[in-house]
Amino acid sequence: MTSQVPCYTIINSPDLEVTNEMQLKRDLEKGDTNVKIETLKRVIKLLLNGERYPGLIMTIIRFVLPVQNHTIKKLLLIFWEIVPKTSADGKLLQEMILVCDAYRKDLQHPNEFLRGSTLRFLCKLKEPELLEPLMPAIRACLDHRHSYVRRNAVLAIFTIYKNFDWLVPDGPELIASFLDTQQDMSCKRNAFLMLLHADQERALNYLASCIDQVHTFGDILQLVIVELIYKVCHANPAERSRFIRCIYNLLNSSSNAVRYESAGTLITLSLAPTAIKAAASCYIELVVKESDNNVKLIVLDRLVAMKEHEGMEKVMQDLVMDVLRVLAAPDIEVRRKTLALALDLVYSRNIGEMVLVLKKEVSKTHNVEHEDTGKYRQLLVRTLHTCSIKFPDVAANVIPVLVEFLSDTNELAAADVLIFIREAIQKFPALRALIIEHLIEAFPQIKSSKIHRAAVWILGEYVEGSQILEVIAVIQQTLGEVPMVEAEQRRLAGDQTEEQKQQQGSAGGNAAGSAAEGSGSGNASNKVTSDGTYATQSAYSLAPVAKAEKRPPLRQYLMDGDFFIGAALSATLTKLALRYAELETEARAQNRLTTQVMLIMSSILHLGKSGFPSKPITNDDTDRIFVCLRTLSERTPEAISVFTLYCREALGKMLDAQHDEDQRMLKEKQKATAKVQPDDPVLFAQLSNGRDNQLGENVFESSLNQALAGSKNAQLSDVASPNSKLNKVTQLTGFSDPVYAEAYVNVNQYDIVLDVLIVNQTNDTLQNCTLELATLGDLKLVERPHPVVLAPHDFCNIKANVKVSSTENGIIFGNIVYETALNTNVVVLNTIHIDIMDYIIPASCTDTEFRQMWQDFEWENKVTVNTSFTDLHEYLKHLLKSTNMKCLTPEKALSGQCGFMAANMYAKSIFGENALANLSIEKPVDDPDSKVTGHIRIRAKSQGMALSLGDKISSSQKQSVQAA
Amino acid sequence: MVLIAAAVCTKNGKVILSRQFVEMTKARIEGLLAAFPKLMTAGKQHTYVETDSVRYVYQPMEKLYMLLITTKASNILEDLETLRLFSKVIPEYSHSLDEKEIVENAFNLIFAFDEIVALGYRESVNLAQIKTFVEMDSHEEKVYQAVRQTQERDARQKMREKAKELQRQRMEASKRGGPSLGGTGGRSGGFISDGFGSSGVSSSSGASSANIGITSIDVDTKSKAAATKPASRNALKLGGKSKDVDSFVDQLKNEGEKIANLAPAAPAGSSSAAASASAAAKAAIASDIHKESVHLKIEDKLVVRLGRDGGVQQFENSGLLTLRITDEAYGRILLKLSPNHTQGLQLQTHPNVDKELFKSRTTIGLKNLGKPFPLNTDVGVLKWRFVSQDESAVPLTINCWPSDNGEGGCDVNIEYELEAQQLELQDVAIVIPLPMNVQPSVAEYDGTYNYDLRKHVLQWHIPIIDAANKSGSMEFSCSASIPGDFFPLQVSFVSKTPYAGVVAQDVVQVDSEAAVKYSSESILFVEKYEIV
Repeated sequence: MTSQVPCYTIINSPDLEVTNEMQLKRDLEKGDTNVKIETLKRVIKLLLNGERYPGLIMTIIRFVLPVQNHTIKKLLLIFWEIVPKTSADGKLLQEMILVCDAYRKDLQHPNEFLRGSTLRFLCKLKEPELLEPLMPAIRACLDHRHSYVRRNAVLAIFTIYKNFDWLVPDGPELIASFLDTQQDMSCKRNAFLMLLHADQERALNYLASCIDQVHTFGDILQLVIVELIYKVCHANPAERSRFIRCIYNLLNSSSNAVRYESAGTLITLSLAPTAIKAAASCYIELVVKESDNNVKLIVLDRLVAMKEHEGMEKVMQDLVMDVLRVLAAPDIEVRRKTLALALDLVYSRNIGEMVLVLKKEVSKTHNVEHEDTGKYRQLLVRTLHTCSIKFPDVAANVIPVLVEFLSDTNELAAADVLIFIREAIQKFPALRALIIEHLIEAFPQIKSSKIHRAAVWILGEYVEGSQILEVIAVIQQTLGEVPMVEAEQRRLAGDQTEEQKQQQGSAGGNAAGSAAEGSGSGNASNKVTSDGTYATQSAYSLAPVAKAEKRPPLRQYLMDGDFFIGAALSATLTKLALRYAELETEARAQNRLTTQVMLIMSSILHLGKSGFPSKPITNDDTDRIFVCLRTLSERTPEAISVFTLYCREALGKMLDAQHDEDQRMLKEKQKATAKVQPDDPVLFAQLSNGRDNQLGENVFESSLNQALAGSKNAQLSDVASPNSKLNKVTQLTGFSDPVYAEAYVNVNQYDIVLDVLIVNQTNDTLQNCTLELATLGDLKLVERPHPVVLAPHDFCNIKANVKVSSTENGIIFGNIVYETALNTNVVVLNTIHIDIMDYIIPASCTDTEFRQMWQDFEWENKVTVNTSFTDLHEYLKHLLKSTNMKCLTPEKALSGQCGFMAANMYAKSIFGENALANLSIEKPVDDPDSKVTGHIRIRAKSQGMALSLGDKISSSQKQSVQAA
Repeated sequence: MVLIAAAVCTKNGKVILSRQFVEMTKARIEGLLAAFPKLMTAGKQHTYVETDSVRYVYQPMEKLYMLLITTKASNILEDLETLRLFSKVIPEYSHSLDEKEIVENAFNLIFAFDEIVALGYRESVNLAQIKTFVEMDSHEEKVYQAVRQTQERDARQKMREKAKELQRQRMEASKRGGPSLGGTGGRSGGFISDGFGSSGVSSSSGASSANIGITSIDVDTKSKAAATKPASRNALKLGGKSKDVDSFVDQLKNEGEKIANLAPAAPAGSSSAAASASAAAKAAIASDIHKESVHLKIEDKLVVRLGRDGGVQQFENSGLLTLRITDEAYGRILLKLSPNHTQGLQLQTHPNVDKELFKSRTTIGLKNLGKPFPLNTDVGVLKWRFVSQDESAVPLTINCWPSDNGEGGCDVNIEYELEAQQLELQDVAIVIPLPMNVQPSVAEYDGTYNYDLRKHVLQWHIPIIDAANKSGSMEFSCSASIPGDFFPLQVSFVSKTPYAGVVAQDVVQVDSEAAVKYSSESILFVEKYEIV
């Protein structure tokens, strides 16, 4: 098939109008050298774009081939690379014999570069008929003085031997003897490369003869030697022992590339701890020494892969401290990977050291301000968190360091610290007193309301004994003086008076100002607040007036209208008061505390309504504070138990659920690896030839195959049974049409192959029967199918390739044109719809990733739910099935019946595009027959993706509505 | 490491140029390239993307990306090295880094890309080398062109002279009034008809064919057969036998160039047997020598022509000492020769060899002692020549004495004697021409003989002639012949002892003066040895 022709060059020239063949011919024939060069370039570009000029070959042979210009010579090589060398029936064109002679002359040309590039071109020639006469010339080039010619000659012989071994039956022998006499590194490498692929025996002999000098060879040769060793050992594990020494030598090569490769090979050769250690150390060394981030990341990946192996993990555990040296790298990705790796490897013996290092890193981040510092700090906090959960012994050590972060301006790190503290305080009761102590110390320095809110909650929940009073004291300190409204009024008045002193006679601005003016300079006066209530100002407080910025932090939040913290504070205070009541037997002390607390709460309420803050208190917060007040005043046992017990219980449950989820993931992972299919072949150790799967498949070959043929699961349409294969057949014309056509649509990763069956239903011979296709959407026809001739009632298969470049719905339409003896006819074909579902595969990502993407993506498509489904879960299931997406919201969160449901879904296209969807649906609980309503929001990076997915959902809804 | 493709694309992901280094279908590569922009995320500090089948490694360059597609098992360190080289190459061939310029220079870029990667493996090249490779400016091509031009010029020159001479002869002949031009005309008739007829030959093809004609006249009647072969590319090489080309090639050889020596086209006629025999023998001697990493080769050749009644018509011995070093460690060496060579030898060193050193201490070393000798090529370092008219210089005398036996036939006695007793001649072959269709009857002989019916020669082989076995004879009779029939005799032999006595004594390192292990071979062979 023509589509199998390998493609070596792509040139995308924007403005390339198709030129007349005659004009091209004339330029090639008559033009001077420069015109010829330009025309030849043009022809090459046109050919690359799929044009065909069968007539040009002869012109080029006659008028361009004899030109001695170097550029033309090289351009011609490219031309011969791409020009079709065979006629339609697969036979070699007559003209090529003439060209062959030109090749021979070039192979004997005195210009060594011309010889060399011709030889390189011959590597791509696939016609044995052409190669055969050239063989003596190619062989002669092996002895050329110039190494450039020699090394290309070796490559030519290599590929010829690989493709047509009968042309050089003595190829390996020839090259082996060549190898012995060569000194040039490139020649040696290429020769060795050939032996490696063609005759391993000889390659090994050569290696054996020079195994002591391997370390003196150049890097490219060393790389091939490593590859040979890998290959040999892979095919023949018994040989491994011979090479370990050699590989070990190479591990100390001066070239980093060689060291990397050797380390990889070494671990396939031996699983001895020393070997693994050497390889891992080598990798770590590379990561530390190489400045390039790409290298760091990929080598770290190798280390991670090594860790997956059980035996290796043990050995690598001792290297944790070495791994941590990588943290010196500035890139956040590298650090993230390193920390994850170190965390997986660390064990009880070296956790102490690791924590020390991490602490040092943490302190380093304090004075360096960089865009990634914040993220890095967060990362370190998380790592320390996991460390202390894994190894509770170190938690006491870690906590003081982490608490310092609370005062950090960076919310990310502080939030993570609190999450950690929350878990630690719940899990390690022994540490509670310590944690609380540190928390109380750090409390006044906290700079963000979110952090305060969380800290307040932790304090309220876990404070015990005498610390209760301390906590209340610190809260009061950070809240400032109560009642707050009065304090604020005073402050305002103070401000005003101060201002007045400075600027006498200026007209007062606001109502408060004028009131103050009216009441003269007296300190104790009634003031009218903006909502018309009177507020009393205490005459006792003579505190000097502070500027607005100097307010205590908690007060500042309230003044900014953030009353959520007020509500949280109230709940905490309530808890504290209740706890204190349990502890303290003396009723007076109890009541004193309770009133104190209630004063704070009512003061918050008052402030919320006073109009001083920039936003008034919300109703929710008001309600919540009222509940607290009421609980304290009435003390019903139910309410008390909610505050004292259930809160903590809820946290415990959440943490347990999280833990369970983690465990489940871990188990799933293990299960996935241990799974054995019932129809897997059984291996008998006695019968196997020693090359059992312990080495895995040859990574070099498999990765190459994968790269060239697409991934293993790319053949999406073929995974199903043949029955579903039939489902992919689309009928293109009617049964009574003169030409019947149907297509089997085969979807590969990046292309669609249409296998079209065309049947002639008439009694005439159809000449020039052509399948013409056109596409709509992001599809492109790779090349036009060739015309065929159909005998009466004959049939044939035509293949057409369509390139797909993104996940969008596409339509292919077309017609069949044919000529009978009388006239030309056209049959219009039914359209073929390309379904994007073929390209979408379920994928999963973490919550944070999902949110990040949700924020980043530009395109959103909102689809309103219009369905006959009456059950929320049923609808979700249907949606998942019809869109191939995966539901990210855990089953637990969805289970149970309530009137609404929200779920996140995620999928990936095989082109690597992400598609996110959020489902928000509801249904009245009391009406079982009502339909599900709501909407789905789809977000994607590209418009096409968002639109097509939306279309898909709408159409699937339509179908289900119709079905109902 | 397997590099699948190298591409240049714009920041939007549009591919401008891509070159693949392994076989793959167009649909696949286009798909891979189309997927790249979608996978790439900005704001990362690393420049690679992995999918489940390939890895993309890229480098931003102003408005462009240089992109490599590799397998996932590929060695990232190598790939980055390659990528760096690629991105250095691009500004070299494209003045500004934008789409238009790249398209304009697409082909040069492709040529350069090809030099960096071969079959998916990185070549060890640097930017300067790539430039040289792409420029294709070949010294050898220039030499070749120069040789060709000299040949053409010479040919024209000779043709003109010959034409003049012929004209003169014709004038003379016409003066004498008799058409006595037959002999000359017969010998070079072909030449006259096309060379002389159009005296202003200037086109290259005309010149080369004229060239053949002239050399054939010039050399000898024997090479006439060869020269009348159809004019192919080789014709020029045949012409190369003329003297100045020979010296030119020698010169090149001395400079370290390796000139493909097209095997001397076997001269037709009776001489071929001897020549090919000697060539074979020479090859046999040369083949089985153990070579060290410093290898000396001493080639001595003899051209001898003796009169049948004694007397030296021509005696010439010329030789060449070549050095071949295959190990870098021994690049810088000194070669000491033994000072006692034959008297009257004209010695000539290669221009790069220190002449003073050689004169004073008969030691060969480069003028610039810091530089090593070229590796892996035969470097000619010393040439010598010895010409004599003295009969005592002839190594082997042959006395062929045919005498009329009175029945229309001849009895022939041949006798040889080794004069230079230090030599040990091997594979001596004496070829005696015989008249047509006459079977010789050999009565007495040393060694072996055989009669070649087709070529009408009697070949007499003596495997070895040395001081202990220095003479021998043969006696045979032929019917229907005259004494003149048995000439010219051709002799061929080879010897491992050089005639001129140039022998290496010692090879030492320049710096340490430590002796270096070396191997040497010496060959004495006969280019022409005949008794006329």
